[in-house]
Amino acid sequence: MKTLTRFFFFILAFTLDVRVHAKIVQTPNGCIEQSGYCVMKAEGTKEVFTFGDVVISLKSNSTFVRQSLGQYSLVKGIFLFSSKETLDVETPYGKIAVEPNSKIIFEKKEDRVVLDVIFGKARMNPLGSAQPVDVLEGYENYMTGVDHSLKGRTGIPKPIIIEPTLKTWALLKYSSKDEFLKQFPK
Amino acid sequence: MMSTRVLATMTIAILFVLQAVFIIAQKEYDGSQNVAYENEHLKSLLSEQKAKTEVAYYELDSYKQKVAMALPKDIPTQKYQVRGIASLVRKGRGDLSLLSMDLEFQEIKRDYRNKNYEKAKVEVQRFIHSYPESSYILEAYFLYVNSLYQLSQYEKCVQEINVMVEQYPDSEMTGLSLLLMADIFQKQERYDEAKSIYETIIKNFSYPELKKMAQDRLSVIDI
Repeated sequence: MKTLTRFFFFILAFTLDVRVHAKIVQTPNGCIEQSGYCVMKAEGTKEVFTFGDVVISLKSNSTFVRQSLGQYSLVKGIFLFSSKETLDVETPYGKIAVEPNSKIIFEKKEDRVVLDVIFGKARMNPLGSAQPVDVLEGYENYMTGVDHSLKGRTGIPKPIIIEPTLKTWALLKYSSKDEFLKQFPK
Repeated sequence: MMSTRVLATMTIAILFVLQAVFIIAQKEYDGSQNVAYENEHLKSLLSEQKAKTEVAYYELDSYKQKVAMALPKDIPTQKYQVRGIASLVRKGRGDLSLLSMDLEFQEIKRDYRNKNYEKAKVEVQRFIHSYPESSYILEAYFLYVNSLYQLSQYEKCVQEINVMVEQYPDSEMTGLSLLLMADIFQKQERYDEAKSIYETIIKNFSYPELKKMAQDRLSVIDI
């Protein structure tokens, strides 16, 4: 009977069609391996991209464009940027310079981009404004569209709310809850 | 001699093998694998197109911000009292015709900004005709009357401002266009009519900046 059961599972294993709906969309095709312009999208699950010293984790259904190494545009979704070097993040509302050794969560919403600086520092340069706005470690701020003064607007810096930020960070940085808990025991 | 138990086991095993062979053969030869492959290919094309569309919207947003920065400060944004039906239903972003409308209107603004008034006039007239229910319609009328004013086509300009007064009597854009009308009357030395327009603006419109502009100009006429 045991043999029969084994045989049954053996046959079953050959006939089952298991599919995992995780996918990276890249356009132009095969551009991830190169260093130039590349649109990248995580479909179905989170993805992690490493370009030299820059690690970008994306939540599912997030899209970004690598304009060149060190220069990225946030199209849609939630991202964790970890970089040992300075890098430029572009948005429709202005540029954000990320300082070396920073870890920053970006959320590109329909009308604004929100950044939570977990480690390091970011400098927002809103469109049309000569005055950059620094976002320091542990703070959150946002950048949005041009107003009547013909300058991009920014919010007021406020301390990041630990729980949701931590959840997003854990989700983007660690592969499982156990791994996160190992790193940060209670 | 084989026992009945062994025979039954062998029969079941043979049945399993036959079933497996049947399933594999079916997959191989009934074309479903090709269809599945094509399906996957189409899905990946669709995903690629979706990503491209997202990037196109990103670029459109960036372009809008640049246009907004380049606009002269005296073109107000939409803070109408009376909203058209189209402005209420325009929220969906998936329609390519909306994208095309957006792009066309940005193009017209660019022409106007570049002082290409003749082209802006023709294009905005066509825009008003093509998209009468667009949420940009008031802005379009405003650009139209301004283009006519810049081209010194005063009679036509006054006619079109009258259309705005009839159709959008409470809009700030209509108020600003009335300032243009008064200006035309001043140029034509029809001071009483100009004065009456300024007084109308002060009396009937609630926008403080507009009232102030009318007040300032009225005081100049009075002098």
